[in-house]
Amino acid sequence: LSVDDALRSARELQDRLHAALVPAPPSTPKTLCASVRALLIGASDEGALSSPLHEILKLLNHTSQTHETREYVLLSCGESMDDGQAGGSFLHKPDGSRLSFAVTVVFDRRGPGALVAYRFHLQFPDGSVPRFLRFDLNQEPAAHEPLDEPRYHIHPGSNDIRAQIPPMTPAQVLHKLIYGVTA
Amino acid sequence: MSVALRPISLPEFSLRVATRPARGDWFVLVTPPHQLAGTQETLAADVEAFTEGAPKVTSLVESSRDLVRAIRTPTDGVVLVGGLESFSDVEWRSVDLMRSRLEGAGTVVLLMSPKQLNLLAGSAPNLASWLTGGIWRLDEDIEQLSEAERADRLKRLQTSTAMSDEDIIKGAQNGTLSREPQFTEWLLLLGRSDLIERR
Repeated sequence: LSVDDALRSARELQDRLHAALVPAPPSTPKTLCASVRALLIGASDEGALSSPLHEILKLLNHTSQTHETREYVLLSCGESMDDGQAGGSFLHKPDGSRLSFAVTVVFDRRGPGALVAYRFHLQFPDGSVPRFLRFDLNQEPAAHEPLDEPRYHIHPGSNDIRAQIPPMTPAQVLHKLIYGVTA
Repeated sequence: MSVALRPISLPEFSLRVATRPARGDWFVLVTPPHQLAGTQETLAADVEAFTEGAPKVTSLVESSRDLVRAIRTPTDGVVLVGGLESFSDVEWRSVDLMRSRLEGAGTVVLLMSPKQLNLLAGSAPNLASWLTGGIWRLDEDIEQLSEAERADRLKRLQTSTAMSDEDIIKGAQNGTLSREPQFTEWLLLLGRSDLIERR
């Protein structure tokens, strides 16, 4: 195997994943916010999030900006970055971990929205290994080879390691981080 | 009656209603007339999601007797009443006289325009006294990121990456800015979505 084989293999993997799995886009900014809010409320009801419901609703914010015919919407919950800093606003889980995320979606007058980028960061309690999991969607076009930096990737406790993941919707990532990962 | 209209988002209002499902709790949500129908639909869905029980919804009330009947309908859950926009001061005065029949009602939510709230306050002072503290004005912008929150997010990005706003703009302009998601957010927070497209 050569480096060229590895590069080609990673490109093929990413291309095949992207061709096979295109996440359904949200139809409007309202439906994007409503679906994420409903998911978080459900998680709170089931005890999978320990933050009080009124704090969850307070943390979930959105802002938007229009450029020509396109409206860019940022849906955010918790801090814009989690470097393990003390304090800050986060969603909390019963196991002591904390979650923050931001999703950027673009809506065009002519059709449904499209995912532009996202960051979902789950920070585990002190002493845990790994310290965090982060699911990222990079903005396209990709600046790097998928071998190094796939567009959809996970950081398993290191900012320098990016492992390919399938194209996942924000809801799918939240399901995994809220229900499928325990410190 | 001095009508204090505190702003509230629809999810938070729904949550307040759902977490106080006690008999005799009264709420009023005030919205512009053109938002009443859509707000009622979303509010009913939100309350159902929070309480796991569908509220009893009345969408059109034509007389004071209709209103009393809607509110007194036996239910363990929430009574949501809209469609009050045709009420005149006469109807509200009549409701006020029949207020004893409304005692013991469940959790009641009245959805109305500012004009109807003023009519109610002026013509049904006794009923209005039950509402004190439970009157809210729908503010859809309240879920919008505030200027202070936007500044906090930018500050955290700057601290975390040891980069400045100018670094980000220059990087986006010359095509060297990373495609990592925090930089997309950064550009949007700076109001430079044009550079999101140029990267």
